[in-house]
Amino acid sequence: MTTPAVETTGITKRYGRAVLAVDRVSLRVDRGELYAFLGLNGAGKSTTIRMLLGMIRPTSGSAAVLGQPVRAEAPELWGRVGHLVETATAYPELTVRENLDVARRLLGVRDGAIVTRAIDRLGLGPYRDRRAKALSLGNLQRLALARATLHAPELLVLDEPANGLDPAGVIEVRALLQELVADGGSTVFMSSHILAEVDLLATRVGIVHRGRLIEELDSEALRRHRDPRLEVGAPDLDAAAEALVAGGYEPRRLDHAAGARLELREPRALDRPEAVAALLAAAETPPSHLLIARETLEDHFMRLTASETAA
Amino acid sequence: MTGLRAALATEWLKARRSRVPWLVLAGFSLVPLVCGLFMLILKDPEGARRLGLLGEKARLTAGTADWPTMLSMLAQAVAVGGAILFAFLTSWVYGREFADRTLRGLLASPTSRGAIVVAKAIVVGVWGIAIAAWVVVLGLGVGLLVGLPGWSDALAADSVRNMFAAALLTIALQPVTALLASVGRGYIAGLAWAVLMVAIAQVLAVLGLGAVFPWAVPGLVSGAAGPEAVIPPASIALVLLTGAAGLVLSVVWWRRADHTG
Repeated sequence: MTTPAVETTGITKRYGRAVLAVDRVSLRVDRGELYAFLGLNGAGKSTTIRMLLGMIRPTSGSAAVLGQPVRAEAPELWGRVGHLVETATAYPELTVRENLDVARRLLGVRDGAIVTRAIDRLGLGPYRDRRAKALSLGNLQRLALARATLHAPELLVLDEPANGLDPAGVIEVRALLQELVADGGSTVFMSSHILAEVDLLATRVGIVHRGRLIEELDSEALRRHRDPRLEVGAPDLDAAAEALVAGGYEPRRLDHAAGARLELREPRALDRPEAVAALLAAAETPPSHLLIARETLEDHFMRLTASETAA
Repeated sequence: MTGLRAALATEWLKARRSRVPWLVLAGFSLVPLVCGLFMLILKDPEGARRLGLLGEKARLTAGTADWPTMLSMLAQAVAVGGAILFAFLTSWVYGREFADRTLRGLLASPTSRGAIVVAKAIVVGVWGIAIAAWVVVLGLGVGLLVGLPGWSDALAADSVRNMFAAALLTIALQPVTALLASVGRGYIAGLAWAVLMVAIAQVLAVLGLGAVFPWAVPGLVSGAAGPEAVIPPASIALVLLTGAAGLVLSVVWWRRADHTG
C-alpha cells in the first residue's frame, strides 16, 4: 500500500475553552486524488489546511503529509508541497516575475526557467513586469496559483483556488488542476465554495461542518448524486416503503431539509413514475410528493449541512 | 539554518524595491541637515534672524559653531534618531509580512523560518550601517559647507567612531523590535516599543542609570553624557545580549506560534 498524500488522525484545534475550530478530523487522501474539502464559512476548512501545512499546531491528534509527520520546519517535505492559503497575496512592490522569482529562491530551485513556464501556464505573460499592487484580484489569484504550482509539487494544498476568477479563469484553473493530477501525478487537496466546479473536478469530497468531518463521498457516491432518482413523499413513509418493496422496488430513505422522503433509482421507476403512484394508491398510502430529481453536489451539501445544523 | 542565502537574496530584493528603507534614509538625511542649519544659526545669529531662521527674541544659550559641537550633536542625533528610525525600518521589515498577509508564502517552505528571521535581521543591519555611513558623510559635507572651525583629524576619527558605535549598538537592539513586530503581527507594537524605550532611556540616563539600561547605552556611547563618560564593557555586553535574546526569541516565536494571518 502506498503512503497516503495526506493523513490526519483525530486532528483537533481548540482556541481557549470556547472555540473548537476543528474537532477530531480523521481523513486520508491517496496519491493522485483530487480531494475537495467543503464547508460553510467558519466550518474549519482553513484551520485544517493550516494544520496540514504546519502553520498551526494541532491541540491534539496528528497529521502526516507525503508520509512525513507535519512539522513547521521540514525543508525536504515542504519542497514537495505547493500551497495557496485563503486570499491570494503577493509583495505589492515586486513585479509578477519578481514575486515568482522570490518563491523560486525560497523553494531552493536553481532553474530560473520555471518562472517563465509558470507565467505562461497561468496566462500572466502580459503582466510579467507589472507590480503586484497593480494586478486585478483575478490576476493576483493567478499569480498565487503560479507560485503554488511553480515546482510541480507532489501535493498541492489549495484554499479557494478559484476565488476572484472570472468564468474563463475558473475553467483554466480546472484544466490546470486536471493536468497536474492526470499528467503530473500530483495530488490536490482543495477547499472551494464553487460546488459546481468541485462536482466536475473532485475524485472525492469531504464535508466539514462546525469543525467535524460529517461525510465523505467517493467517486461512486458523487456519480450517484448526479444520476436522476425518483423522490417519493407520503404521509406514512414506512407503509409506503413496505408497499414499494412488495412491488419489487428498492426504496432508500432520504433525509431532506423539507422532510424525510424515499428515493428510487431503478430505471423502471424513473421511466414510469405513474406506476409507482398507482402502486402506492392501491396500498392505501398515496404519494404526497413524486418528483424526478437530480441532486447536485450543491443540493446535497445544503441538505446535509442544514440537517446537521438542525440536529 | 536551511536557505539563509535564498532568504537573504529575497529580503534584499524586497528592501530595495520598497519605499520604506528609502524613506528611512531620507528621514535620517534630515539629521545632518538640521545640525548644519543649527551651526549656521550659531555662527551668525543676526544673519539667521534676518533670514527668519531665528525668532527676534530667541536667545541661543548653549553651543558654539565649531566641529566639536557639530560632531557631538550629530552623534547624539544618530543615537536617538536611530532608535526610532531603525525601529521603523525593523517594524516594517518584519511587520509587513503580517500586515500584507505575505507571511503564509514564507511558511511551509524549504527555507526555514529561522533563516527568514535572521535574513531580515541582516538586511536591517546592512541598511542601518549604510544609512549611518551616509549620515556621517553627509554631516561632514554639511560641516565643510558651513565652514566650521576647530577641525582636527583626531577629533573627527573619535566622533565618527562614536557615531558608528552608537548606530551599531542601536541596530544590535533591533531584534527586540522585530520580536514585538512579530508578536504584535504588524508595525505598531514594534514602533510603540521603540518610542517607549527612548523615553525610559532619557529618564534613566538623567538618573545616572543609563549604563544598566540597554536602550540608554547607545546614547551614552554617542557622547550624550559628556566626552569623559566611561562606558563599562558590561553595558556593551548587555546591549549585545539583549539583541541576541531578541533574535533567538523571534526565531522561536516564528517557529512555534500559530500563524493564522
